[in-house]
Amino acid sequence: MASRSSPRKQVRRSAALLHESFLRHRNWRWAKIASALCLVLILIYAFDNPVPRPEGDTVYGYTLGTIGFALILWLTALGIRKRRMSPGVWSLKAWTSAHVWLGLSLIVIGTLHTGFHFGWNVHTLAYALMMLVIASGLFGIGVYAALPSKLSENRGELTETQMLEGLRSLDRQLHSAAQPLGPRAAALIQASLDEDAFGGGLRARLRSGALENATTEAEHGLREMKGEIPPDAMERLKALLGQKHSLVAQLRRHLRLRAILEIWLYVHVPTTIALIAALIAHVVSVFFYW
Amino acid sequence: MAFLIHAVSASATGREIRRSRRVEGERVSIGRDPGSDIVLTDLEVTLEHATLVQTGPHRLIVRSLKGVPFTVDGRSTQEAEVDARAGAEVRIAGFRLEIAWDEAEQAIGVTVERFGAVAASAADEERDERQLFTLAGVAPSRRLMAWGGALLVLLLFLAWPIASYVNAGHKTLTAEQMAAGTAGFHGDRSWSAGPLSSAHAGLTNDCTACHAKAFVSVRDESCKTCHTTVHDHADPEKLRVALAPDTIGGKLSLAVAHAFNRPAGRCVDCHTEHKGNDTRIAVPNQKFCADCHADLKEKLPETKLGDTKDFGSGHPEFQPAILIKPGDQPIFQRTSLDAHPKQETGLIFPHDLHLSATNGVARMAQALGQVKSGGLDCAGCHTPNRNGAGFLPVTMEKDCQSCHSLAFGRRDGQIRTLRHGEVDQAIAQVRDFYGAGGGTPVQPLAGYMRKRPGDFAAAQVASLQGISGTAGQAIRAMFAPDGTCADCHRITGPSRPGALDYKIAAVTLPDHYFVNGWFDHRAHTTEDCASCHAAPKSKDARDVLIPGIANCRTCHVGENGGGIAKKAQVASGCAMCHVYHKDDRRAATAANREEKRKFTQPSATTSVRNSE
Repeated sequence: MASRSSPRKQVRRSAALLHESFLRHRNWRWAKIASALCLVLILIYAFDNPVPRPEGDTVYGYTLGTIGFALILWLTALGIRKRRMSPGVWSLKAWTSAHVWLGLSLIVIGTLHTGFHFGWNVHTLAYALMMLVIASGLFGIGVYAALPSKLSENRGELTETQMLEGLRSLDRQLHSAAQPLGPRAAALIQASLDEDAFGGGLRARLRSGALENATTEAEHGLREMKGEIPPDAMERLKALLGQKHSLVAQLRRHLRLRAILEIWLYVHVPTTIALIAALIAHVVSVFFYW
Repeated sequence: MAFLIHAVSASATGREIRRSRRVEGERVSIGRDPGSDIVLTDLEVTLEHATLVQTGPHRLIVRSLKGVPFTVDGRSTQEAEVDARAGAEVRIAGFRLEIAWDEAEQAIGVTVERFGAVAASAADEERDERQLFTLAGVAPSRRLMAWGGALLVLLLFLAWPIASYVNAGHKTLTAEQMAAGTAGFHGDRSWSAGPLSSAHAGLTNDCTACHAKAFVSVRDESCKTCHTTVHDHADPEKLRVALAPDTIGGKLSLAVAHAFNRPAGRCVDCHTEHKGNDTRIAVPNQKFCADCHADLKEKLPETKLGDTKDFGSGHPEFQPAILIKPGDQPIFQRTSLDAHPKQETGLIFPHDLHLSATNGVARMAQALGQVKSGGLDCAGCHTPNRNGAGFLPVTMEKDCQSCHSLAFGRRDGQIRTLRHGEVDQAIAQVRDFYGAGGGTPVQPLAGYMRKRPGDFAAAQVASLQGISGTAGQAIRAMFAPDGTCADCHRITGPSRPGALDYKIAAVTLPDHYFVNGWFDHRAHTTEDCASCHAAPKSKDARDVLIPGIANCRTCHVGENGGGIAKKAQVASGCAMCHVYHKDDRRAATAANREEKRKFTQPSATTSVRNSE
């Protein structure tokens, strides 16, 4: 086609490709496929009229269940695919795009499979786990869309290694600058040195807001001990503590963003494995008490 | 007296740097103060922290100056005596002081080395930097969570239910055990696909009551443990043939069902469970019936049933059970109304005569006070039964006698009445009456001129006085075509001229015409009887007054209208008139379900030639 060879178009196309996220891969190809699939399945559900009611144990119910189970296994395979170099035609981006959109279509497939009947049983457990996996996946997409820019904004020009090196350097300087201090002041500086910027567990990582930490306490403490400390040492320590304070705050923000960026996988992946276990129990139970 | 102090530190490249210094004297100071003999650059160390004091050739005391404890060979103390030849390790804050006797220098050697990191950030160097920024250190491992979660799910929802099944011991519960239910929670409850119907709620905890064998679908035997009297809809073999689908999809689904060990035609195919309290097949979808009955003739050529798929658009004409042989052992045969069947009930009974509003009957009814104006109505003779769905049998005593009197004479002030229903007794009564000298006939046994039937006697006696004759004449008159008996009954005889062995045809009144259908009159009280039953125009007692299907279709349009639009559209699926288990007609209407009356079948149902 003539239009295809038009240079302007080609430029636009390549520009689009450059900025194309995995969600809109190939002009929303997988979004379209998944939507079409859902639409067809909903239409069949609407016109299917099983007796006494639509549920997993009708012909259509079994069909949906089989499609759903196969799809879940395939979606799980992304974890394997990610760890392998791509030998075939499927790029990781295409695979991820399909993973997201077909994964979302499971909301329709799974719900139609239930026929909107739920209870306290292994069947609904599998459904609930599936929805949890999907919800965590959605959360993951959300944070991947929003956080990387914030992360890079917070980090400035620093790499993680540079942040760490800066902290170590400040600590070393603090340590040597504090050598002449008396025990009370030294203890304040020591507390700042002892405090692990990476510590505090999962909740501390995810918690937002400025932290009251040993470094800020040392800043306050030294100010109160004005008379006991030689002025030049005081000046140097104040400067060092101030630098450390802002670096730690930056590092904690960085850690928090990275934690949010990562935490959904701690739900998504283990829940997926539990979901597969629940699906095995669900399928076995159906045929066991047939 | 001397100390030999070795300071060990690491270069930036990790190489060990060792600087040694000899301190003469018997006392060495330790502290952060740069003037100390041993300078420990650690903020936990005070400026003047401790001293080493030599007390003998190889002995020394380590003493804390500010009350800050240190450890000697792992024990925390503030003062300790050490034999340098035996050696000791003293730890102060992040520093290790190894004390050993130096034989060559004849001095107490003290090797000072830092073992701890200066700051937490420096300690991070030992950690993998790539892991440091991730959640790996602060959250449990994803792998562990995944396997743990999966294992937990499999234990709770696979292993436990299977254990419950194994523990149940595969025993078949008795009906009593099923009714009682088992106490306690069983692991296999988590497999339940939904609540059981209320009738089976007691079995909620006993999955194995129905699911008797693993991987074997629920079989009818389980149902029959309790449901011992339910009849088959049809011969199971015929049912199997009729059920066989002829579409590709149907055949495929049947093949799949077979492959998965789910034979078709089981009770649970229709009586599905685990669907909640009110989801049993009470009123099945019409397609459920039409699957077999739409083309039954094709599948079962020998069937006498007509193909049907919808009441409105495809239902054969009714085939009521028509009396074809009256008598003590009557025979009924299902006959289509298309054939305009007649039946000999043994009675001569023109409905039109009785329902006329203007004729003699009507006037008689008025005279007797039975009606104020017009003629008799249906309810005058047909009394609804207790539940109102059907009618009580019509009897002479209750329904006919008030007009059709059987009084025939008066003697000694006593009215003599013919015994009804026993011909020989009646003949004998007349013989006795005349043999004993007669009396006053109250009305002629022939030439039946009922001026005032019912309250007959007094007014009639005068006009009849003087009529006399022999018993034989009276009996002949009684059975003559215009005689008392022949007024209602078909008479045969006598066997030879002059004999008196008259016979009256047996009266057989069917009280239920539809063998497999159920019609509830109560549901039709908005209608007149005559809007369905053509009684007012029936001149012949042999008429079958069951209305045909066209009559029903004026309102009943089938399940979905069937393409016919009528004045009062009543959606009418198969189940409105039919029930699946044919002995359970009571279930056919909600009204009947409420009232567990005993259903009275036609007296001769046993000999109905059922075409099924």
